[in-house]
Amino acid sequence: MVKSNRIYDKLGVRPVINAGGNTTLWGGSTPPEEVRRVMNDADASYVEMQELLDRSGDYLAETLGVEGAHITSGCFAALVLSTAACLTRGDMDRTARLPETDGRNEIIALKSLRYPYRRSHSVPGGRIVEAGDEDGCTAEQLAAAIGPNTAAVTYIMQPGTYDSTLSLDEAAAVARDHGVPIIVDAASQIYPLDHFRSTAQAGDLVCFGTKYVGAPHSTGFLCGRKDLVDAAALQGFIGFEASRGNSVGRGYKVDRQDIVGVVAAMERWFSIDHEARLIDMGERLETMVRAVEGIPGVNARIADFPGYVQKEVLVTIDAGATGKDAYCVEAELREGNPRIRTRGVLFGDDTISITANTMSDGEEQIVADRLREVLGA
Amino acid sequence: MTVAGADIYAKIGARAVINAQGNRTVLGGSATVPEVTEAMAAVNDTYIEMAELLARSGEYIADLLGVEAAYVTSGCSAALAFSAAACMTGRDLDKIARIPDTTGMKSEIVIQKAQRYSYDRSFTVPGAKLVEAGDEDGCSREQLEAIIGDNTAAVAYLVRPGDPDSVLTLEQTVEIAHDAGVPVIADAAAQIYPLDYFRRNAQAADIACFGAKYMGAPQSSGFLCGKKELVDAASDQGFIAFQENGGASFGRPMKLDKQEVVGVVTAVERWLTINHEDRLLVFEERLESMRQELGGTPGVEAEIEKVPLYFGSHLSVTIDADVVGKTAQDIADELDSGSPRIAVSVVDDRTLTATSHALNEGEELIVAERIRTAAGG
Repeated sequence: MVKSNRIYDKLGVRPVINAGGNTTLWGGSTPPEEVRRVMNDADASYVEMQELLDRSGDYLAETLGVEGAHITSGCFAALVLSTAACLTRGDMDRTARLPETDGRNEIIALKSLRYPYRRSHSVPGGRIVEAGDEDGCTAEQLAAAIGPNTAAVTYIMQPGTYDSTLSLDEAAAVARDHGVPIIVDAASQIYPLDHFRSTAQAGDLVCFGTKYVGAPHSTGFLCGRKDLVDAAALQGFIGFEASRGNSVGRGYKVDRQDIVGVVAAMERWFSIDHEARLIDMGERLETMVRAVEGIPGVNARIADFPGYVQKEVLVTIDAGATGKDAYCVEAELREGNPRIRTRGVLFGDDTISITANTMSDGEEQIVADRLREVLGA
Repeated sequence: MTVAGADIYAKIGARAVINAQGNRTVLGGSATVPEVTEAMAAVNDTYIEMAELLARSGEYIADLLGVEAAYVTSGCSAALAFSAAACMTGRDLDKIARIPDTTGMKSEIVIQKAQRYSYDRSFTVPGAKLVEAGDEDGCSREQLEAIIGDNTAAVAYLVRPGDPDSVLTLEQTVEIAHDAGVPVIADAAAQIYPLDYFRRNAQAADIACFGAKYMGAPQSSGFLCGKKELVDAASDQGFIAFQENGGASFGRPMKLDKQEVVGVVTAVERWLTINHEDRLLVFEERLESMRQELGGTPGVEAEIEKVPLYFGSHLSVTIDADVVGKTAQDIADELDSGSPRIAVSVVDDRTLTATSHALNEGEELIVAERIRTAAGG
């Protein structure tokens, strides 16, 4: 429920009912009580950050069945630090020179998997070289792109999206055959749990965002091969001392509260009843579908949503019947009171996507009521 | 007496630290003050338009400090990196997208050689080159004037008490840089007290960078402030701008929680309104208790020394190795390995210092007692 909030009022900002997911633009996550409690406990005392990062990394590595892990200020930071690790391999001189490199700076990316977060590879001085074409990439095409200046192969994990592009396992095999590490962006590949584990194990450096498991917004981790994880940690804000002040990631700071928050959130994620979680979400979606049933020109249905969210509501609007197109409805939800953010108009011009995993209890009813109102029921 | 929050760290396998070193990043940087803790907790369950929150929080802080604009960051190093990038790219999106490749941009940052320091790495992270003016002992007006050239993007200045007269002051540096039409970036990380000094530091340069942990905000928070045009260009480099400018910003990994943004606003406002004499008195009383506790210990001399920084004073403890049979380092090592773990600073073989501003109430007696016991008293 959106409550009035003193500090938001003072600053003149309006909270958002989040019907669109763990989006960075809206603050990413609302850590649950279990996570918040340990964060508050951790706030009460200081700790040696190196030790805390080491031990929390051990915990994550054990949970996921990998050699090492390192908590970062989000998935993008994990990707940058991973890239820096592949550019430097723990070498102090190379570390001091970043973003300048000795020329072995190519990061091989699949042309068919272009996306904005690829920027993470050029931030510390890597240079993207594309393999394959817009439509896909074969193992042969990937192999052909790897050369003496290749520092790493990078792969964005989005299951089921790209039939003509080689799979993560295939890409990892090609990279391994050429003695080149593979960096994986697996930001939200956290469910089912065996998929989470197998993805973590599939690359040399695999990066996740932990806002999706209920840790604070600005957290994530990288995990994988111990030597590379250590090289990545050396590029981080605490590695700054060990690297004699040369880490490229000194600005990627994480609070100790956030670090224990990640551990607590991961522990929770691996122990909660996910069926109950999904049933609860499904009920919220049903509430919203029922609310708009029968409105002329409006069709609402629950659809599969790949990944940890699993389901969404798709509201298709016939502007001829309702007098408003989907963009107009989305804008009214966004600008109205309360402010409601959906995933936006997707899948053509007439359909709004709504998710429930970032709603607090009761907000589905507010969204349902508001939908009816905007759609003229 | 157990250390607050020790359990959560013990569970992960890290040991909580009684912090007599101060707001050091390697120990976790800060414990949030109650007003900040409360403000952060109050927004935990909300989502917000982060762009709006960053814009309004910046305006609020700018008003408090009497500057044109401000922007909250993930710490002071992040603020410095953003400032350097802003001075190279301005608001040109093509340039922003190319950082750290600075081809075609003014990319030199001039710094007085006598002011070189570990955090000047923050300027080279986005691709700037540091150019030194003067020598180890200082820099004259003429030397600074001569080094500023066509490729100078900015002059960097480290604000700190105690620089000799041979080093140009911030005001002199600004005058010379402005005569040459070049902006000045001031690193004023902890230069926040007295308050008129804080305001002057915020106002004197074109961009000034601060850490907010010193004021009781979370450790991974800070801000930059100054001329609107440059602050806007700096915020263009940030993690929220990235989501809206097609993935151009190099600062995407320097992520912040909404809770942290609110925490910074609350901490700055509190800092400008609390009774600092009372604040300093508490710290001094703790030091006095420690001094008394150590009184009469053979070979140990303790005295309170004034420090020209925001915490006002520390306890300097001199160890006579001939009497005690241990160096200051031996004693610090014992405090570190004992239980509870205590962090003090070693100045030289015979001197260690303890601060009291990062201690919880009552911890000062534990620290003093342990120093006394370690010294055989």
